[in-house]
Amino acid sequence: MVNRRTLLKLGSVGMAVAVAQAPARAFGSTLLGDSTGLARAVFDERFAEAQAFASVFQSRGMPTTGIRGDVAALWYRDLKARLLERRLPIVGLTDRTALFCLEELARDVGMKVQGRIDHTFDQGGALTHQVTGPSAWTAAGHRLGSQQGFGRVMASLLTDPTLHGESFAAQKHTGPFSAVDRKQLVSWWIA
Amino acid sequence: MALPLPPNVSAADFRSALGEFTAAIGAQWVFTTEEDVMLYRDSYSIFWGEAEERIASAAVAPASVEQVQQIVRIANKYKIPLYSISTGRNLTYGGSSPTLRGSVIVDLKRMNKILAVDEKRHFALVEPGVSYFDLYNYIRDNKLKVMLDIPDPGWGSPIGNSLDHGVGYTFGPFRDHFGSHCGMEVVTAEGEIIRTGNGAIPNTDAWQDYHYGAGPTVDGLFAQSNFGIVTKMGFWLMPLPETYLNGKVLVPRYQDFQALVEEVSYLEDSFLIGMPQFGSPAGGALLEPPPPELGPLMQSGWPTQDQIDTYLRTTNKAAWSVTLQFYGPEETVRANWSAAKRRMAKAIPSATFQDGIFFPLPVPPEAEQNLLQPVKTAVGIPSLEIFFITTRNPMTDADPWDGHADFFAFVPRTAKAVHEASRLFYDVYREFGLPTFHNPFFTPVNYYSRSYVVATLVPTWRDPVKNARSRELFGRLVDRCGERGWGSYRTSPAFQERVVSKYSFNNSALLRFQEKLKDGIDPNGILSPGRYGIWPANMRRNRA
Repeated sequence: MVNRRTLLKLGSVGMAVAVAQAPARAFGSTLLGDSTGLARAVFDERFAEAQAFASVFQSRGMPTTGIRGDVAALWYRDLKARLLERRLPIVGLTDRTALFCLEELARDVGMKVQGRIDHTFDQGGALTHQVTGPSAWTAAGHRLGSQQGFGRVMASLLTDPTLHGESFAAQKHTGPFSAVDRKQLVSWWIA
Repeated sequence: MALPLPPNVSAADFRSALGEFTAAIGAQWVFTTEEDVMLYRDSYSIFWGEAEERIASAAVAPASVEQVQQIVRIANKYKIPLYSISTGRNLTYGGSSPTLRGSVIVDLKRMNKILAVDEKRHFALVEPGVSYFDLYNYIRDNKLKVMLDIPDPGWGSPIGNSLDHGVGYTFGPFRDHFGSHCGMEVVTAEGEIIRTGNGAIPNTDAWQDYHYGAGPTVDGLFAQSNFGIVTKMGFWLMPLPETYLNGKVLVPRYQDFQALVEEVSYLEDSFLIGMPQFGSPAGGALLEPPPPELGPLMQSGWPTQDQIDTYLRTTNKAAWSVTLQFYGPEETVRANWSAAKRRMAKAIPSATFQDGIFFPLPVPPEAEQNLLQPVKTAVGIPSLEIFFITTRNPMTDADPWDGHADFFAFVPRTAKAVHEASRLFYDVYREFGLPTFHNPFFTPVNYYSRSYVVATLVPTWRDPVKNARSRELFGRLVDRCGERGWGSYRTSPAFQERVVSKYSFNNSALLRFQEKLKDGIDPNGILSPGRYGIWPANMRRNRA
């Protein structure tokens, strides 16, 4: 479900922005940067982009969990109890199916998908990004470019406090079987 | 998308009702914003984005039986339709969305206590918000000597699943989740609490030991229905088996399927095996692409027996297989596998056998992730892996689905019925010009031990044009199977009325009887109106 929906398909040549150019912010003072302000950064360790995403959080001492597709153990043996006790945002770079499961499960703790960027390789191998999120995300999406390496950029974007001021709901954007191929990934924010 | 009002309720009355819900259970547990209510949208809806999509008007999440009673009384006062869910995860069957658009969801997720698990008498007593994962983790963490029979995926609740006639994958009596329940507590439409079976005796210590009580048994009225809100339920559990063993039987000849079916039924009905898993090496597995050589065989329509025999000779693959599963002490599982092989070899001389895997139970936690499907589910370990397996099915790559609506036709345990149903499904899909995985090698699923299911997953989308075609296809399958005398055990709200309409013996006397009960038990029609075709009197015009 998307309301106040902002959709942007990006991917034209020339939008690539090096990781070094991503906003350099003091994580300790950002919405997510405080280690007590983020419940978890979730990444699917089967994908290099997701590993790069996680490395940014890890380098700053922030909590990460790797999965390999199935989110059941993460949710039922870890996150659910923590989030029921204290509701903090979770972010991730996973495949779409993992996000589908997490957004269904998040209802149990009163949380919802507030933004997502789908990273799609088309049949020619070109990378595009589809943004569904607060209006600030649209502009931020331009930083992603059409080259590999978006995982690290996404990690920086998701820790940018200026992107999270507007309430937004982006849940149930797709079903679990929507992946056009098995490489399609999605970055997301659940709060 | 604006949220709908409950049908036949004024905006002013709805506001008043929401105010009273808030006073009863607290503002943070009454959900009225679009963002919150849309969390209950059915992700697989076959009406996605259309006027008929089953969208709720609000949701409430009570924490206790007393709060459920209060909600029901307020709903009666304002004639607000309610729709209760346990965890609301029965995707393909409506998920967390109501049957009637504009209903208020009663989300029982906060009633999540595991009240008892007895490893000596082998039962559990739980509330609706307890999921299979929760119960499994409790059993594992406390090292209790019982085994769950779980659905796949395992994120639903034992109460919700069994009330929807859900099924599992172990021994026959436990695979029938409603059939293995023992005792329930129900809040009626009037807000009264009743307990069934021995639970009706005050201070009984035998509620989960005897399920009938005295006099008529009413438990069945609360499954696939709208006669009450179940707030507690007991389940009989299987004692933890000492070991698990499986073995595969391969049958080369197409014509020997009936003999295979008969032998498997003997073993199943004698309680010698758990759920048999049929397959066809020549036809491919259900969630895998069919062998490429099958394409030419099906190119000119349903093949003749001669063509099938030629195909089998060419491919040199067995026509049929069945994996037999054994639970128990090592001595007995090995002996039962030996006995099964002896019987099979006598009935089907060309059959061959493959020893499978054997391991002690329980599976150590650190080894769970190494266990592959379908064995993991067969030993009661819940997961969400089914979503990932299906996503990776190349068959859907060309036009990926968003969800699916399942149609499971129940047929007798005979080869003839399985082949006939497979052909029927194939013909309907061909009529719609759609690809189908039904072919002469299609195999049944043995969820309920005394019948077979011939299944299909009808795709659903975010695209209304495609959904309209899927609805028509689904309806045709319901009608064609109904004409043949076959029903479906469970279906989404979009098709419940149509499926129920096939149970029309004696001018639908069964449904008329249920409607009389509804009128007496729930005169204002506040509980899940329309569920499985049971409408309150003032809404019967909604009938298809």
